[in-house]
Amino acid sequence: MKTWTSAVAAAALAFALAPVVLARFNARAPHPRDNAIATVVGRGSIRMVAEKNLDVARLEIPGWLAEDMKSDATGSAAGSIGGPGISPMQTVASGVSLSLALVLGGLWLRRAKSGPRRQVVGVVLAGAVLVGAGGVATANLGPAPRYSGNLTKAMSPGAELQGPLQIVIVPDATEVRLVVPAQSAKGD
Amino acid sequence: VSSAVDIVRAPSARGGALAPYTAGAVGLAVVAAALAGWAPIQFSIVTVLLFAGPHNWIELRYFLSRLPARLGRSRSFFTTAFAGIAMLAVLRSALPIAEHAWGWSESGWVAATAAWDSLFVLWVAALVFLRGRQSSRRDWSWAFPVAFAVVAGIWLAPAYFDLGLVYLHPLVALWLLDRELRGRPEWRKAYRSAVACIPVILVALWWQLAGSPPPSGGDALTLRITQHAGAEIFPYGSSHLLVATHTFLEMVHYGVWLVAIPLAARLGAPWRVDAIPLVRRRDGWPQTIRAALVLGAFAVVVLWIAFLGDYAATRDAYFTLALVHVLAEIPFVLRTL
Repeated sequence: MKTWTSAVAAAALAFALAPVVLARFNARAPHPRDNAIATVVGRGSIRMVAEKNLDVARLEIPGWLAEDMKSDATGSAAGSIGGPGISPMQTVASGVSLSLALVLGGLWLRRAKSGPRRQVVGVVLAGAVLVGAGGVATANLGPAPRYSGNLTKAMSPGAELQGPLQIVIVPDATEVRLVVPAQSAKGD
Repeated sequence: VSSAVDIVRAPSARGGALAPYTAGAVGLAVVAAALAGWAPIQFSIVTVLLFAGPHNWIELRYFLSRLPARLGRSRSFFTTAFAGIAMLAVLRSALPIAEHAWGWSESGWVAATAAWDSLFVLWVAALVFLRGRQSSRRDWSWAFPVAFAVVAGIWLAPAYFDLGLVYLHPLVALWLLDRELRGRPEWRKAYRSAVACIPVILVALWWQLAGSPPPSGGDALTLRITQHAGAEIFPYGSSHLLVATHTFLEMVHYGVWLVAIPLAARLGAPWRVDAIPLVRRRDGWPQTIRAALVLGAFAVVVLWIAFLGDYAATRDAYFTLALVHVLAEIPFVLRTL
């Protein structure tokens, strides 16, 4: 029993350290080609308004969003492993925690004597399989197709408009605003 | 109202006699959902202004009445609970200060919140384990593997965990109320049938609001309320729906704490504290308990005045400090198991 416990403890330690080591070796330097991939650097809502007597369209970006975009574009917000937005430290911490969960769960299961406890484990395993299968099935789904704003009313499909644009960072703004010149009553 | 108090205090009641109360509770929930769906921002502003302070006071009153006069075998449980509440509250309040002082990047903030969330989950696991140890028939050491699995998820997406807490916290009161009705099966049955209507109401709300545009108004308060409801985390969903859902659940939470739990827990009149074990005990702390409740009532009035003075700033400050009552609910929920 003591030997078995030592073996489990050694395996647990190795398993717990494995993500740390793997994360360290898997951390790759950014490849120049990565820059060619379009990256989402910010999310928010946009308000589109038309104003008279404008000689240039204006895109107003809130200060906080500009900061987010800057940090995301320079890569200071996230590392290169584990997908976008997940830093190496997050990956390591998550891996160690998952390892500890499996090891402690295994030790708990080892001590199991009664039937109901094994049934609980069965339910947990079934749940894990379900979640895993669900994750695989939905991993490549795009965002929900139903659009929740009313910008669809702004233009018809295929329509295209073009004109000069001024980009302004507004420190106190809360959302992105696109201000476009409006046609006056005389039709100028 | 007095007949409602009498019937709730009765050890048992016939199912038929409870039907009007069940229908009334469901009717109020439907009205709350309708208001939350129609004007979510305004409803959120008004409900927080009116009920945030009083429901915290009622929670304080409830927790004091549920603290045992002598800790006995629960000493380690309550020591861990109170130490954890104090530590987690101080750490969470210090996060924005530390961010400002040290100029954390986005990843630094994510790591700090994930670390706090991990401590929170491990604290809950420790409480579950300690509660299990109070009975020789229970082994709740499963709490630790489950907690570490949750922590693994937290480090991958801390924002989802925080948002989960925002939406799950209102439901904790429903659980506590269910436990309080243990000795009254007819009431419990009626209560559960009313609770079963909440998912139906939520589905109806989502069905109605799935394609709604964002709430009108681009002011900072609207932005804060939509962010609190998770609009940044689910940018492709309707922020109107998110705010309406959260506001509805908050209203249910306030209703349960302000009306249902005081009746079901037989707390008596709020100003009568003689029944509280810590007051009744010979070497108890009657003065301290009374002072805590008076100070709490004073804080409620100050909160109302502050809301009227600067609603947005007070709301931010309130939701930071309100973390204490969120944490305090956990040991008392576990005590009912």
